[in-house]
Amino acid sequence: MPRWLWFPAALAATFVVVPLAAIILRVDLASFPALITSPSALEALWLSLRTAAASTALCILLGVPLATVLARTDFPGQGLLRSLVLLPLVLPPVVSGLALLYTFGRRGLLGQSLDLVGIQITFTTLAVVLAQTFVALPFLVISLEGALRTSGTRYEAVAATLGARPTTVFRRVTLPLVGPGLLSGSVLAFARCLGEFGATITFAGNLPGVTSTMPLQVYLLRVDDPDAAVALSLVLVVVAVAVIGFARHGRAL
Amino acid sequence: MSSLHLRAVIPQRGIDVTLDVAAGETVALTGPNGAGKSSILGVIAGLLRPDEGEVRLGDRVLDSTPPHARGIALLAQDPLLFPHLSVLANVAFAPRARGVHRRQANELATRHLTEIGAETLAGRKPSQISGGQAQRVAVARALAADPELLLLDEPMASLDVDVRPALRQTLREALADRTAIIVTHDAADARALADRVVVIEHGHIVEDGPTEQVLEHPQSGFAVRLVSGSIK
Amino acid sequence: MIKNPGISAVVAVAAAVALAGCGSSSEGSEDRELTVFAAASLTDTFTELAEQFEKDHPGVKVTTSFGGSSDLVAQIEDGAPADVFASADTKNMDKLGELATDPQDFASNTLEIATPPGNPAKITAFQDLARSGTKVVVCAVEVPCGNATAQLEEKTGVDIEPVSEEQSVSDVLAKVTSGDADAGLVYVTDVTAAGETVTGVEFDESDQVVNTYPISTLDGADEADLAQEFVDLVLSEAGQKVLSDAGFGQP
Repeated sequence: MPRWLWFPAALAATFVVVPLAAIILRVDLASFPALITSPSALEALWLSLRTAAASTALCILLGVPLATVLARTDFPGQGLLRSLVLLPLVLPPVVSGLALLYTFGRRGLLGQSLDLVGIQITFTTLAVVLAQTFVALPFLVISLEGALRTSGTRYEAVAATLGARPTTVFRRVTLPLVGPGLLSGSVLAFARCLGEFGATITFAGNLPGVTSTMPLQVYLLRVDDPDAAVALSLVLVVVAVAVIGFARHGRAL
Repeated sequence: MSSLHLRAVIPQRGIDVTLDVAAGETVALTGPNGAGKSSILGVIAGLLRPDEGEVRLGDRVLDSTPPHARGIALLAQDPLLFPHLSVLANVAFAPRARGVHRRQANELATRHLTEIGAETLAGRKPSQISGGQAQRVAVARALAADPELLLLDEPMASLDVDVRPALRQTLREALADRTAIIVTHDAADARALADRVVVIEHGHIVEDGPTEQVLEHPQSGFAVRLVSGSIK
Repeated sequence: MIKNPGISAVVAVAAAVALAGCGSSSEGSEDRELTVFAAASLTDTFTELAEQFEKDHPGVKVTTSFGGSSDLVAQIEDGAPADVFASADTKNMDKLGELATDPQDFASNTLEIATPPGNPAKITAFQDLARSGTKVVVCAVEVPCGNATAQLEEKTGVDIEPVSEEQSVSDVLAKVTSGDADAGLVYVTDVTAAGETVTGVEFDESDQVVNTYPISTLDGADEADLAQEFVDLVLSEAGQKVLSDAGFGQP
């Protein structure tokens, strides 16, 4: 490695670290404990953790089969399907929220029929989960598909010649072999869910305890009560750091 | 234990082969790299679909049977022990897959490990044993599947020369009265393990005879080089 | 974490250089430039007034920046180069203190109910918003329209249980136009600006909470004269006509 790379590398690290430091320096230590343990803050944190966990579970339930199909089969239009599935990764979250609104909204593609049987999804916690799942699913699919391709099919072939049915092979060989990839994919998805803002505000709305997750609270409080916004931001940063740390530790195991 | 009838045509790889193996017979399949030996094993195991052909094991026609239902075990050059399972669980994999209860499967696996003298490795992970040990465990795992036909694709190739005799001994006992095909580039393997030697060049069988006859009086170019020891 | 002050100095210099590079493209002409910060609800009217001002003052370019009043106040306090500030409420103007040289009220606004076109939930009065099963979206109490809503609820004793407390007027309108909400509470001018996409429902109690819009030139404005002339335009008869056409009331 040429030695001059140190300079731009240090600049890049600084670029990421300084804003984080800036937010930490803004924290009003005296009022911090009170701010993050206020009923509204705890309510938002609890809602965020609950919805992110539910969304991650949904991502696993839907993403594992999808990633397997993408990694293990070959059919016309597969490339197009992969691009479409990964689209929420690069789409502005607000656009994702609009897309969900036009699907599950009261006058949406599916929402219309749901409304007839008395089910409305917008403004509910389920809407938050759907928004988070929509934007986080690609993270899980992309890392799991990569893991599946890397692990290859040789172990699966051996398992088949040992008499294991496809379902047994999938359960006892395929999934355990991509365990680390599945774990890091899930952690990424969880972190993305925790940070979800644009799609939630567009599709789910903002009501304390129902749809008002941490990022929505931070955005709302940022002007009128910057101290509270900063305190909540710091909590989000800490949770994110913990999640990433957990993922790296899990991978090393 | 069953006899095998194979006909496989894969024009893309230049393969056109008809091969019969009698029940209990061990055939050594040899030939230059790229001659199509591994492809032939793949067709028999059901991992590769020939353009044209037939696989018959005993009186079962297997052409539309998926690999797991064929009763054919494949032992590759790499042991490919499942890295997330212990040695014992690897050997117990096949019995468990066919529905045997965990305890009985473990007993069966322990018996197979004892037969190859590897019962002390039972609790270890594949990453904690040597390459030679791993390949012997792989043999035990394949035998635990109780296959009607055993396919071995250069099982010694990735091993150091000094550990080959041990595995050869293990295989000698395992193949004694089994229907098996072993792909090898080693005349010593053929002599120790096979009743018959089949030489394949460019996807076609060019020589086929009892082991002794082929090794004493080689006819094909490859067999001559094999015997003279100029391979590898 | 910043033990070495040298690091922050390097970053600051690098950022300054980068920003200077970005800004250079718009300079170079000798024309004068007036920068107006105005509340988001003034977007249509102030865009029109800015065009009028440019027509009256050849060679002057008016740059407008619209946003939530509190966001704009924060930017001005952080040194954003604004010459004029028009706020959606007196509270935010007051936050500027000495920075606002001469605040004057120029318009007022009251709340109105917005419903999806045709008013499918048949909302006719303010109390209807408290009907159970009616899906109402309001502004969060932290933003001006939400503050006005809360005041109105208190004065009238009508207790609305909203399904969502949105971050801005446009978020409220979006939920109404999509049909997901039966009604939303926004300003009269927002209903006018939304045109056909919503049906407005006026109600008697609305005049109990009147939002006053102040405008002021800013201390340290680069173009103090032009800034004062722009404020004068807004307060003039022509300026007031533009505002009343958009639904604003007298100050």
